[in-house]
Amino acid sequence: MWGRQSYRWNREDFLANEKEGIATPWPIGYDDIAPWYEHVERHAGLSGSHEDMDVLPDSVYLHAMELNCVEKTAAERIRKSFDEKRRLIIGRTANIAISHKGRTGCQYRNKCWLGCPYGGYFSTQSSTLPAAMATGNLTLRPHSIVKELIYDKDGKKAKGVIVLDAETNMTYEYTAPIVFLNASALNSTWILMNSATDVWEGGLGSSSGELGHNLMDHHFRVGARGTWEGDEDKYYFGGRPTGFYIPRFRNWGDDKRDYLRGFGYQGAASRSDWRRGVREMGIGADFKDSVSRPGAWNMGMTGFGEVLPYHENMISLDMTRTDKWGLPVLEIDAELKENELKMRTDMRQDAVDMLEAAGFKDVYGWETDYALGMGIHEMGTARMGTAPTNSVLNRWNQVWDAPNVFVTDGAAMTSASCVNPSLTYMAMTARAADYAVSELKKGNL
Amino acid sequence: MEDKDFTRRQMVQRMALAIGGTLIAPTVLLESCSFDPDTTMAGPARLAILDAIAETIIPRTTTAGARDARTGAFIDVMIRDCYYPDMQEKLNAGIQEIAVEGKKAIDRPFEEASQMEREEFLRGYDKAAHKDGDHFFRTIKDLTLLCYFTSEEAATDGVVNYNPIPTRYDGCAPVDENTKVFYANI
Repeated sequence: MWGRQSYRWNREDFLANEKEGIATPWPIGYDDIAPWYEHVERHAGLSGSHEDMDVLPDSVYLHAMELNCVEKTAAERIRKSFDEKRRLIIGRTANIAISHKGRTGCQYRNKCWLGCPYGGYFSTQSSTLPAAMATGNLTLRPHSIVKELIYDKDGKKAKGVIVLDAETNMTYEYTAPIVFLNASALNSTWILMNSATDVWEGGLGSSSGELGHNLMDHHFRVGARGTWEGDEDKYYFGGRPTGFYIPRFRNWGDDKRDYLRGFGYQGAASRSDWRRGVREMGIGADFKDSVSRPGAWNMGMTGFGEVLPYHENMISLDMTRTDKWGLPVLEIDAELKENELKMRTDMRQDAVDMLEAAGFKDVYGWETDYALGMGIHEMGTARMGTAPTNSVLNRWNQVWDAPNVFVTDGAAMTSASCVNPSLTYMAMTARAADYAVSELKKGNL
Repeated sequence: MEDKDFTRRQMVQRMALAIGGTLIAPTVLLESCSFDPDTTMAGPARLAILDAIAETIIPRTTTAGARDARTGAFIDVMIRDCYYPDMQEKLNAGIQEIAVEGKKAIDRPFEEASQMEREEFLRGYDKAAHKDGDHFFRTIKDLTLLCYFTSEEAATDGVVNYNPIPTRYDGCAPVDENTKVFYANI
């Protein structure tokens, strides 16, 4: 599922591992990726407001969507109560409200998850596939499972891929001068693990000892909710495809906590609808009339926290279990540790504090079970690094052991930040693709 | 087919997680659900009692009621297709109890009683369900509201302000005595 929330990483996100001695340093910094953020933002079309905050660098926006009246009041009060350090801003999303590159703007239907027939948000179907088709160089081959890369021992590079047709079970070889793995973090890693196993038992990229390790996600399912008194004469019209965002404020500036890194919040204020009638007492005509009118305003927020890269949080091939194509399945062994658990206490309490400071009533914090992976932001299992001994990929996302293989999805991430990751994958992919083309032209690949 | 259903069920569950909310109904996603207006599986007696219960909760006024929206058939399909057997038993026993006890209390079949008589009788169940979230009537009420307020009848009769293509967002619109719940997503 593509939630469309789109945020740039900040400068510190790329420096934190090195400064804090966590895992391994990033081989690139904010300045390396900033022009590529801009490149993909201009292609995708983003919605967001310019806030000029170091913690959450602005993107290139086509426009900003609007906070509703209660969110605006809450934003004002939170900003004042916390000395400008906590800010509630409109969520930054890959929805377009105006036409952009032949796509129609958002119709505010609140149906994004069905796939948008208007192309109202950036997606493979609305944006990148049409662009790729337009080059005349794209061949789509559906029902293809890439089993492994074909590795050329002598040339020390990949010659192509072996594809298993999911419907016929036939295998095919496709050759190419370069290969990009973008199968999603865990599956790109799975392909590497199944490749060149005659040279390295653990697969291509395993010589570092890091392939499959350092699995990350964003931990969430903790936050707070409260009820608003007043503004009963105000309501909203239309389904806004984003909520608000509160950027990280913990361990930022002069704030210091007993854990590392931080978290942001996503949330929204809304008025209850007929669904409140399930809990309320009442049946009959008056009840019917009452629940068909907007109820009280309320606001909730959910924290999204950074997970550190732990070597022991890992995936591996389970050779004892295979899927219907006889391919080994992945075993996942990962958990939150003390740093994240400490952070969750703040994620709950800070949300309560902000809602109370904003004037909400009946505020309550909540937390429900979270397991690594629920955030569907898997990262880190073929990370980038500064040397073949500490990482699978170099600063251009090339596999150290096969430089014509590029991995540019979540697997490449050396740390996780606390913001939604897709925009960073996109920027990194564009950067690596540009580099690959230039190297290919120079005859280096 | 099985794989497709599995994916869809997972997606619905994921969506509920991702938006940080809970799904109102069905509370248990056992199988993929679809509203099948073909009610041949349910006997007319069962549909009549279910419609009567739903209509008591949401009666026809100047606008369509739960019966107009075929809520009885919806509840029947949901119970049959979307709940685990123990929940099915609980719900069916509750419906049976309303039929039997209602007839005793009102002195004629529940489904033939007037709206006022039915309301009078069900008020106790509503009170109990208000206190106890696991009460069977909470689920019946949940399914009734879900069916009715997302129905074509409620939308076209202006019970909710249904607008499938709003084209714009206004975060601070005025409210007057005619303002209804805004609904873009049915």
